[in-house]
Amino acid sequence: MTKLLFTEAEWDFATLDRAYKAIEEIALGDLKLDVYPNQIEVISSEQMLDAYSSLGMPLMYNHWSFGKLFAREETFYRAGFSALAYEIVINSSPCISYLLEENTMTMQALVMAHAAFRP
Amino acid sequence: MTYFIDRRLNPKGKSLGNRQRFLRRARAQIREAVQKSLKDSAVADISKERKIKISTKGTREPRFRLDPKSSGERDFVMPGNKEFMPGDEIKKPPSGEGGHGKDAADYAEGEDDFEFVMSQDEVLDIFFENLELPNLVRTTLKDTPNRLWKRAGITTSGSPSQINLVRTMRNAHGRRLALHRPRLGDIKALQEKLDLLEREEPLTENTRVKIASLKEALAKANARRKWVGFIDPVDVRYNSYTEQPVPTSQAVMFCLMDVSGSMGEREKDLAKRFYMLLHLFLRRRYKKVDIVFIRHTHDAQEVDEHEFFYSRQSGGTIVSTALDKMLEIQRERYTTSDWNIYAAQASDGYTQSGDARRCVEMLNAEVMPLCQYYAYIEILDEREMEVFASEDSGAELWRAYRTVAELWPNFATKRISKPTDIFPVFRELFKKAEAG
Repeated sequence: MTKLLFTEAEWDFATLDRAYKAIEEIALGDLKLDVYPNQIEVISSEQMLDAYSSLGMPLMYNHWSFGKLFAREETFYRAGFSALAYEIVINSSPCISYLLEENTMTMQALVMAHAAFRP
Repeated sequence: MTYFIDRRLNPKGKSLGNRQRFLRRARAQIREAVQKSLKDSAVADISKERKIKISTKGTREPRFRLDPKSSGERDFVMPGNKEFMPGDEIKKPPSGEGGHGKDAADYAEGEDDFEFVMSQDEVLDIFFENLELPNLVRTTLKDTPNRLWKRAGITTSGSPSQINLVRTMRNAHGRRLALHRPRLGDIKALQEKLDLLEREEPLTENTRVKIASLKEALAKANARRKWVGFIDPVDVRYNSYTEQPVPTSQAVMFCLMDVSGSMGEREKDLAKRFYMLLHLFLRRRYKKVDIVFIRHTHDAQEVDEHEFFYSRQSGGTIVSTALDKMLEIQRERYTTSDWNIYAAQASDGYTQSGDARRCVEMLNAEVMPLCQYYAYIEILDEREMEVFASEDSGAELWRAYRTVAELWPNFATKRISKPTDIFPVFRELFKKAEAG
């Protein structure tokens, strides 16, 4: 019998790595996908809000409308009206995926499979 | 190769600059909203985050949309129309008549209010905006210890840590252009051309001449590249800073509070809240303001901040003792040539009979000539407020102080009867004078 990759909801970098390797095996070996090299970054919820207000871009010029967007997203998030995105992907080479630190391990595995391995 | 990077340690608050831009843009609306929300809140709450609601109107962004002529979206009224005004909405057809509903509007947000949370600092900044200590004058500038480093343009010499990269690289680029420094690409192209010719078979006379000229050009280009450097000492620029003295005005605020038995818990609480606000204001807006706390019953003493706000004491009331104490401290520590002197006094308006007259005499003869501004706040209960609806009637001290106010324009009297009075009264007392 094969061993499970993880059993807990908590994640750490070793588990992430294990899960990533397993996903990679399926994506590249079985499905023969052609993907960019991946760079996976873990960010906190505040940083996710920051990324939101710059429309997901790692760098953006300064403008008041982004401030407004941030104020709104923050208010909604704090009031519990909206949850944050589980991940943001920048489809460049290398492909950068931001994982939210609050995700469970299952979520992280799902996000990596979804975001990091798109042909 | 895959990397896992932990970005959680990276700085957050990347959009802080954008937030400030937004606050600046919607400043007028936010100011109004803050004042409104402060109006019915306790002073202790002022230093908390606060939910602010503004209309979306001020924060609307321009957007591209379809040509109204071709898409049929019209928000204007044709001339000659007597029935409608711009902005009118056409009523829904009554149900049962079978009007087919159109699709939802294309606005995602609609006309709701825009709500967001402001931090304590942002709220205070807005609340204290346009407030100041009146009649503040620059006192003597003798050996002001305050110096500030200010930018003073760009220089050609300086410390390497102050190098201005943008200017330096711009100069270097300009110089390279002016002196025709060959690019690496140009040299590579020459080299390739040369290689191609050299490999040609058979070597004709014509080719040989070409090769010679190419070799010469290549040698020239290489020499020029060496001679015209990518960056040269003459390109380098440094940011320069100079130290400048900052003129300061020294000011002292005397806070006189009546804590006698006639002041009930409620009155004391109101007075303390007023002083808390004053304290917050001075600390925030004026770094160089001394605050002297004096409390009095039948006897006045100078106390520290903590004792002033939190300790209890009781006794009879003689207001003039506080004035005595203030004058004594002023003579000891704060000469008028170096200090702007301010005073704020809170009392319930009752004092030992005959003492009010003494207070007025002291104010007129000694205190007011020294003071830039003197604010008297009378704390009443709400029943009294109704009885003394007019400015002319009031308790003994109030009536006495009105005569002082008539003589001195920089003497202000105000009444507070409930917590919600504090903010407006405070704003009125410290309103910035109209530019003149």
